[in-house]
Amino acid sequence: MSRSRRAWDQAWKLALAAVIILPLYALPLLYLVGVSFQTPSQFLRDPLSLPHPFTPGNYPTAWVEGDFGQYFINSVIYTASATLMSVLFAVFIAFPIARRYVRGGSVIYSLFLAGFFLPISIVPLFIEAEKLGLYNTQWGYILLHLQLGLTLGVLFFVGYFNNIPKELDESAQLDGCGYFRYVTQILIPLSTPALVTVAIYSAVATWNDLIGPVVFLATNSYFPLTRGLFSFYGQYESDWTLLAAGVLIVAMPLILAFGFIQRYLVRGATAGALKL
Amino acid sequence: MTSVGASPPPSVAALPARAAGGRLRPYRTPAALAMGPGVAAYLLFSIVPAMGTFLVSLTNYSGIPGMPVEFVGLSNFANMIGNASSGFGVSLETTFVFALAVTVVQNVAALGLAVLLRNRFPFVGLLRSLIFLPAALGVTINGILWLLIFSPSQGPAAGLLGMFHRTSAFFGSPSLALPLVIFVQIWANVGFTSLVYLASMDNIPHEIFEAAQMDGASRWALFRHVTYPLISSAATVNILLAAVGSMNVYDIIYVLTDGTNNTSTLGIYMFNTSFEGSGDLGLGAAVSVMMFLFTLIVALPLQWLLRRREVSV
Repeated sequence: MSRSRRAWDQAWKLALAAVIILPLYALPLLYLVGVSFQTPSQFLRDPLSLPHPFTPGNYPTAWVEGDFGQYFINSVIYTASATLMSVLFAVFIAFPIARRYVRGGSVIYSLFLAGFFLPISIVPLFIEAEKLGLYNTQWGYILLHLQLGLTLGVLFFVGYFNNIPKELDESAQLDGCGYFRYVTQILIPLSTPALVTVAIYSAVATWNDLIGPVVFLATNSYFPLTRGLFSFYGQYESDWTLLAAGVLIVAMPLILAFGFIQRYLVRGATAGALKL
Repeated sequence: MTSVGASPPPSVAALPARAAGGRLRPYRTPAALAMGPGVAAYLLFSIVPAMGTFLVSLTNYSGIPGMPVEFVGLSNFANMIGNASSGFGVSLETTFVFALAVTVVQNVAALGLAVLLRNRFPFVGLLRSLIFLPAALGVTINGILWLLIFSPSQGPAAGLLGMFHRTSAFFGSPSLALPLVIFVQIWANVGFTSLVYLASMDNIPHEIFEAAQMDGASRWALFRHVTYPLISSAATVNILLAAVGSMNVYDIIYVLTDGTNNTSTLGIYMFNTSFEGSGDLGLGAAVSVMMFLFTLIVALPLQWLLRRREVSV
């Protein structure tokens, strides 16, 4: 293929991709941004026009009315705790399996592999939550979200730890380094890429879970952002300018974090998918 | 000089003593003990509930406190399948339409996008990010975004139709709601599918293309006989994930329609049976079991069929 033909080839592909993707993925969000800066009366008159006068006041109003501060703190607590705990647990499970330090390691491994092929168990999980006193409690909500990080983490880490030489354990032990110190100060720093990939996967899933809070939480002040936003939507369905501001307030941290998390989401997804 | 030889480092001095005693057992006991909490959490919150699904499906568990729980055998299944008014048959049909449409369209669209987004211009990176953004925004934001766009009274889609003097209830329309839900599901997931195709295309050695081009292969022949066979393992994964995922989905439907207007798939039917109104947890678990069986019935032969067609580089 000649040089100019190849350039032309790439140009039309790019143009076609832009014509398909921009209206479907950028425009809806930009539209919401526009609405969020309008006054209600302008929105009713001409919703598709640019904000005039420019009204940033919808944001503070939505923040207060929607109680997003409280929900945001809850989401951070749930996501951070569940992710940290599940990744740490997964490391301590995966390492002895990778090293064959325990008998029956392969059985435990298959048990985690089976985690991807189990029936949807929201019903028994709800019954279990009630029986164990986890229903409508914050720490219960955290425990109920360990599952994904654990399953994914064990499978991912066993493969990763296999590439860390066994001699490292032995020399650390010769130097009198205890097991917990070895894992936290040597193994974990060496495995950062794998840990971050699983952590981000688990964090995004926990942060964005809507069914969880619908089923396991009843008290308003325990709601994470997803459930809070959904209630806000139900309450202000006709107040569009406020609603648009609320949606963008909730979306903003995700859009800001996206630049960072995207790489890991893609890496985790493609690595997992291509290995399957 | 003598002082250096006289005092060797303490760790070297300690080494032979320990090794000779045979005490060096590499972390076996603490490693085994430290697995405990994680394994317990996994058993408690994954394996027990999964087994519990089968058990609860055989009871009349109602979710109302104080109601006696009885073992009712297979009567939940009998009611669900035998009683036409249970909603199970309709949901099964809806799930079939939903899953088939999503699996086919999502994969075709993702493959098309992957071909368009294969090169590495700076702007291409932005487009790749944009189609993947819904994966980070999550079902709540994705759902509300499209509810607003397709709001029958104030939304921009209604405004657009209004120019042609038409109106629609969109998600409130019995005929349009399902196609729109299918659209939102594909919109949210096509980015992931596309990136998996892109990753596998990047793995194809460039020489293969050049050799084929030198032999005068047409653009279609190149795709059909070179690219496609080599990305077929990505296709297997994408088709399986889309099929299994769409058969079991209910969170996005919960946000968009809650199963109204002919959008009741098995997933949302299971969810509403279990948790809405008085709540029939026994029946809900029975629907879960059926969904599990359908997933196996579809996924296992599909995987076998797809794997057979794969070619490795």
